[in-house]
Amino acid sequence: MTDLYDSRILIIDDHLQLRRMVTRILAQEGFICLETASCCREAAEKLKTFRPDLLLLDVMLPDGDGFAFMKELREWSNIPVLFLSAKDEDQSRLTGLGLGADDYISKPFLPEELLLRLTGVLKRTYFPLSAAKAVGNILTLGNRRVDFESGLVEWDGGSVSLTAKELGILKKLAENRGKIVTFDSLCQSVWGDDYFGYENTLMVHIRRLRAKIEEAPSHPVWLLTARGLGYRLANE
Amino acid sequence: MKSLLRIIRRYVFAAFFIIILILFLDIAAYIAMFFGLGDDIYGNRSNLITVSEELTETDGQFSLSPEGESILVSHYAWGMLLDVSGNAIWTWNLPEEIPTFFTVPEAASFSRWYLHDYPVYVWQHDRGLLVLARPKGSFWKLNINRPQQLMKRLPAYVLLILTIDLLLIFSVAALAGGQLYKALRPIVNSIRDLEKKDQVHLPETGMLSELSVSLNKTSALLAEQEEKLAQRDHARAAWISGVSHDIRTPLSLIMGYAKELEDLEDLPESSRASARIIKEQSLCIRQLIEDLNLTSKLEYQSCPLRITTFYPAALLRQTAADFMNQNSDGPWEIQVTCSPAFSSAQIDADSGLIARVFRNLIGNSIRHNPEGCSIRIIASLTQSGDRCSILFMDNGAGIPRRVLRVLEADETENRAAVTEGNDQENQPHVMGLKIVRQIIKAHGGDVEFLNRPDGPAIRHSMSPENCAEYSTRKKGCRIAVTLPSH
Repeated sequence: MTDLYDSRILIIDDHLQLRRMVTRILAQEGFICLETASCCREAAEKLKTFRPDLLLLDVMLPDGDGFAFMKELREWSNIPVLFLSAKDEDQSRLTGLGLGADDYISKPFLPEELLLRLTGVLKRTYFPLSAAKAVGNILTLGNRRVDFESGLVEWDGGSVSLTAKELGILKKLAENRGKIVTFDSLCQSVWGDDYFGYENTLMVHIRRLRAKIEEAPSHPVWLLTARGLGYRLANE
Repeated sequence: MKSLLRIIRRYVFAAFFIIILILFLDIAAYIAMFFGLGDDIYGNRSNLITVSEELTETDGQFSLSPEGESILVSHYAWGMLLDVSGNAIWTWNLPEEIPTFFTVPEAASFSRWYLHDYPVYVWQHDRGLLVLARPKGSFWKLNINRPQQLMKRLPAYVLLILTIDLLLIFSVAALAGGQLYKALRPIVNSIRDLEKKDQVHLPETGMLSELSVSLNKTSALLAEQEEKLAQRDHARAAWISGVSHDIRTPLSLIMGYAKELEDLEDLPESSRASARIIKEQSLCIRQLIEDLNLTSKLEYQSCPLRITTFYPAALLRQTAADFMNQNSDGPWEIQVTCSPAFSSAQIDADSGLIARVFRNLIGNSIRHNPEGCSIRIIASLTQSGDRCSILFMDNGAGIPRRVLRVLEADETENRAAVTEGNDQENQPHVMGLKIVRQIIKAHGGDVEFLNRPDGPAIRHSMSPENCAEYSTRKKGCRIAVTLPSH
């Protein structure tokens, strides 16, 4: 498989209309290899003949439940599975994920949600490098360029290197560009789970980072503060 | 159990003091009675003296003064005066059966006892011995002769006997109390078990067997009722869960196709707008289903809390940031202020449910103020340091009075107050806020919904910073949440 949209997807749900709708949503997005099954028996057959790259699996099926089907499947295959279920209880969710499902989507769902989660799983499973490259190695902030590989901030006539912590902070902000990233998330991404107490240190690193990426660090236009919440890297 | 011991102790002392009281009352009554008759006994002596003095001899003739006569008439049956030889030299009303001469042994005999069954009393007279007799059967004569030593020790003996009596009384009362305690203990334990909704089965024997039978019956009845209630609650929760489950797949179809129509550029704008409304309303239904499921689970306690220890400040900031990120172009502003103490505080709670509380409260401010508003969240620890106090405020439209009334009535379970004058269908929907309260209460916290600072009293559990902020705002709603900290 060279392209994400070449992925072979098997949709297993007893509801005909829902199978049709999901097929439509995926087809409109560009997926071409789609197959459906209405029960466990049919799904087992399709697994052999269709050889899917991903399963969209309902929990309650007429001849068994999706969890048992998944358990059996995991004995011989690591194919990614997304549960698509009307059972919204935490317990069902935990059971599904505990069995090794890659995600659990509760009905009713919005098409975008389904597509985002499904493509996310496919990217992580089959295109891990492209997922990592999503952020890109180069971040452009006005007339300054940040190279994450070399850890340098470059501009016409100069460059400055970033420390490991500054790089980590900037990477996290770049991954969520345009969105507020809380102090806690930033600290966690840099200092790990035991991040508590680093908030003041974070502020010091932010100040230094601004000195390197902003033209006027006291009036930042890229690395913005969300009062009481965290920081945001402004979009271009 | 301490209270039962206290009750038994009180019972023993009360019984002891009651017996002592009765004993003393008896003694007092005996003394009163004794001295009541004593009047007569001592009167007997004074009567004898008076009669002896009033019986005078003049020229060999004896005469009794009217006073002496009156005493004889009132108290005595007959009287006589014996001279030293034993001859009766004066008589009064002497019956025929009584001789008029007595030898010394005869006189010595009757002087202590009876004479022909007449209780007789003697007194010395100048001329001999005055003998006065009471009517037959009127007096019981008793001579007490005891060793002197014994009589001297009598007070000590009486005291000793009284002490032994008191000890005996106390021991018996204590023993009876102990037995009562032993019999009552399983009954009290059972009542406590009933309080905790545990089933009890007492042996139906002993002095309190009737009580045991009643308790066993009550317990069986309560267990039966409890089971019926649980069955009903379970059926209701299962029904809600079932209905919401069945509605999910059709709703997926509605949302999916509405979204498709909304994105269809060939459709006229008005049709796409309609599709957008269908999609948005479907999202509302989805939210309602989730709320309904959660509230029914919380209400029927079929939602176990997944307790973990976490920093609420991090969760609060993340939830606020998510809202800001989702509504970055919207007319809403969210400001979060966490005190250093709150930032470093941890709580033991279900983080998913607490996040739901934060989402519901911030989401409410956004949903009910489409024109925009400023949302201010101030979080701190209370003065005692054992509770987190989080104040959610906005300067928007505020909580409608009807909603506040419904919430208030819901808390006091006074549904009649809400439905009075209104029909159920017109009641405002308060599911989101109700869920907030249910979650907070399930975690041992408290929540207060208000509009004005001059509303109900500010919670004592609120931190000083929050109190100050609370009272300065003039507009919008304020919701105070307190949670026990780690």
